[in-house]
Amino acid sequence: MSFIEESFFKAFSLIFSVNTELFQIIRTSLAVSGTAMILALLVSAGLIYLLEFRKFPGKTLLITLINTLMGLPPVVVGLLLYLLLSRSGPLGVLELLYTPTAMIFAQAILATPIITGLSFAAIRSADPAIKLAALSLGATEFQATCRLVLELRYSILASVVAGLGRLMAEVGAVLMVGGNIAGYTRMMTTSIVMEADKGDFELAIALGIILLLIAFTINGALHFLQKRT
Amino acid sequence: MAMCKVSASAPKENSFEVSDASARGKDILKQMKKQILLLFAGFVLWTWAASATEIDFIRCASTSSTQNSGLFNHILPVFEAKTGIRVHVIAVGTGAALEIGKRGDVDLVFVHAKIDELRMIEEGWFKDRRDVMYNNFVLVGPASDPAGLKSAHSAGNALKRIFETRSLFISRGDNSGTHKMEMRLWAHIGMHPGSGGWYLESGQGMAKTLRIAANKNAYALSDKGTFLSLADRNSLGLFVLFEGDPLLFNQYGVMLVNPEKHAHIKSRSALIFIDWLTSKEGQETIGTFKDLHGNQLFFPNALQTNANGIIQK
Amino acid sequence: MIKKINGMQLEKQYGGKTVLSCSLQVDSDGIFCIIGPNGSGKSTLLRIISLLEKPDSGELVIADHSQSFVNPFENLNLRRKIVLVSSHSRLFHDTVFNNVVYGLKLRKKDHRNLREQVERTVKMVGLTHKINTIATDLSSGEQQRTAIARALVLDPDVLFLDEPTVSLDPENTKLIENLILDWNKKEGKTIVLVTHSLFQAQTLSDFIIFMYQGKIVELSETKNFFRAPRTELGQQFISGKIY
Repeated sequence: MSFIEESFFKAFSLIFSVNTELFQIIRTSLAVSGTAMILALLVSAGLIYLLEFRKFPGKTLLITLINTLMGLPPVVVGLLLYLLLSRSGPLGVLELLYTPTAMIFAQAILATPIITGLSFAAIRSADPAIKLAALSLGATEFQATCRLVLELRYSILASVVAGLGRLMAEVGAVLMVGGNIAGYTRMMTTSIVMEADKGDFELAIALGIILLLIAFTINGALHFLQKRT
Repeated sequence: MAMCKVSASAPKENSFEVSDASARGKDILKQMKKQILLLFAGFVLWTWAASATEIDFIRCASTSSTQNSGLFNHILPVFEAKTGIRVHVIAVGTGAALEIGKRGDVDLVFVHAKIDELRMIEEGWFKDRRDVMYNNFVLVGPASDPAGLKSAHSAGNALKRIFETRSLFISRGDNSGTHKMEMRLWAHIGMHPGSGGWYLESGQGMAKTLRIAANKNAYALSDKGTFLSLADRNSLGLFVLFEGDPLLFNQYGVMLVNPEKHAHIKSRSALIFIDWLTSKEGQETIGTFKDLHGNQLFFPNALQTNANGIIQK
Repeated sequence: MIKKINGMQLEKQYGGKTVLSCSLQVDSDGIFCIIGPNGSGKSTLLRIISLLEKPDSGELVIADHSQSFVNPFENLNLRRKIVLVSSHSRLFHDTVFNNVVYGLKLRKKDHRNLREQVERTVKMVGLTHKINTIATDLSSGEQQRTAIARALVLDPDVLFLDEPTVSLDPENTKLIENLILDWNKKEGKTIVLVTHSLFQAQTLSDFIIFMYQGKIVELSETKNFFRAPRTELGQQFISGKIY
């Protein structure tokens, strides 16, 4: 067997043996990313509401900012968040550095601009006739926009998937603010980096396969929901 | 007249029933969607509930050499079983670990740059430092050994040969303990490698730096522990070409972040850990640690070097 | 019941060009057809009196409610008594049923007994067998019938139609015209319709509103208008000299 084949073989036997350490890593990943996703969705919904219905100074600036932040390098988020949450930083008293909560913030910060930016672009470029139709049937502005969002569920779901993808694949920021602490803040991505460093490629590959399977399952589930609406 | 025409194109009653049934099917799917969402919410809660049972813990900034070798996996369960204190290890380079400690983000640091450590204690950032264990730095390189390190008679001489033959050398370049040691060695022989050409700075951790050296058939300075513990060491094609100079002695030490600088430090639990690391039991636990290949990577020496000091509580 | 639609000095400009500048008084029920050459402001007028667009100036009184136009959407109660169906109605990417039930759900808190109402209306437009089809997958004729059903199910006091049969085949055109006539007869409510087809205007409407260059040139009974227009422009329009 070649080196790569052997690694894959060992990786698969790792996945199917119940390895509590592996299980813990997966659970941390899912808990952190799941919560970050919910947070990002809530913030995005709020931001889209603001952008769509409120007039306020600096609105164009906010839109530009969101679009810029879509390409935000994760390590920059990690660094800024580290400096903020550090005991010597302004938010140090919250004692959030090196906790899963800090990682949730980092991931949510990375996913929110993507979800907001892409969804808002979809809403802006939508056929105005949809909203007009809803209005003419007696909808309020808000109800008409809700209907529009429902109409755009494919593109909005796509933006959510893009946000989720960014968040699940992220390693730089969570490493910085989470610390990759065994059994506490160690996630699949940070673990892959570490195991690859150590030369323990089996575990790295096993984690990679699981990460891929999870991404596949989530996308499949979203696709299923999409088809059934 | 008009209604006639419209109802003529309307279907018979039975097809109406069919469409009604499929509408009901739709409602079922709608409910299913709700269930899926509930399931997801429940799942997130479950994953949290499972990880919420957190106990008393302290934070220790350490180096990737101790973490990646598996030392902490070996000693921390023993300590936790005895005291009930969990140790959260954040593994970075020594330079970064000291900075994190200075900022008060951890309770103690476990690093290997004794000169810097002592200086920072003098500056008031840390206190209660103990020697814990040691190993040695080694110079590794390709089997071909173009600079002839195998016949060097000292560490300085070995580096001089690399310098003079302009053989490719990968430096950590990240202000880590290993990098600091390398800089001291260059200063010792009065040479300045500069950068570019044969001398490259990886800016990465030890393991990554060794992989770069392996790929480029280059020399590198490494702590022996990290080099030996690489799981795929045999396939890397790197060999220890020089070791044994007393200059290459690599002392690991542990010290507490000064509570006078950071009042929130969990000094009591941290001191219990420092105490235990340097106790007979802790030292023996370190001594029994072997890597995947069966090598002893770290040699406890707290009982000898700390003989004349007791940690104040 | 809304019988009165009064517009005073309604003005609308697009890009500096005045597209509408007119006054209008409607005080009776029946079918009103707005006709006129391309660009005469027909659709703009329709959108303004159906409260979906704000004029630059002027006053609109519907059923004794003066419309301030600070926000054209503010008078929700009034707006929910009128419905506009536009030429190429944009249906929702959803089933016919859900398209038709949409307006009802907006109006009623109790969503339980809507099915029967929706089914009755869908039957009326002859789409019962497609009630669970995705509306945007239907043929254009079926789509327009769905759009009409979506409006009729709400039982509006005034129904506004913007070229409801444009680019439809003769059969669907006839179906929709009959729907409009039947509904008007049965419910006795006001319908305002923009059309390009003089034939449709003649056969459907009780009154003609003839527009030219943003102004209402004539408002008269249909039979009078087509027999003898009061204006030279009307005469020219009927005889096809201006279009």
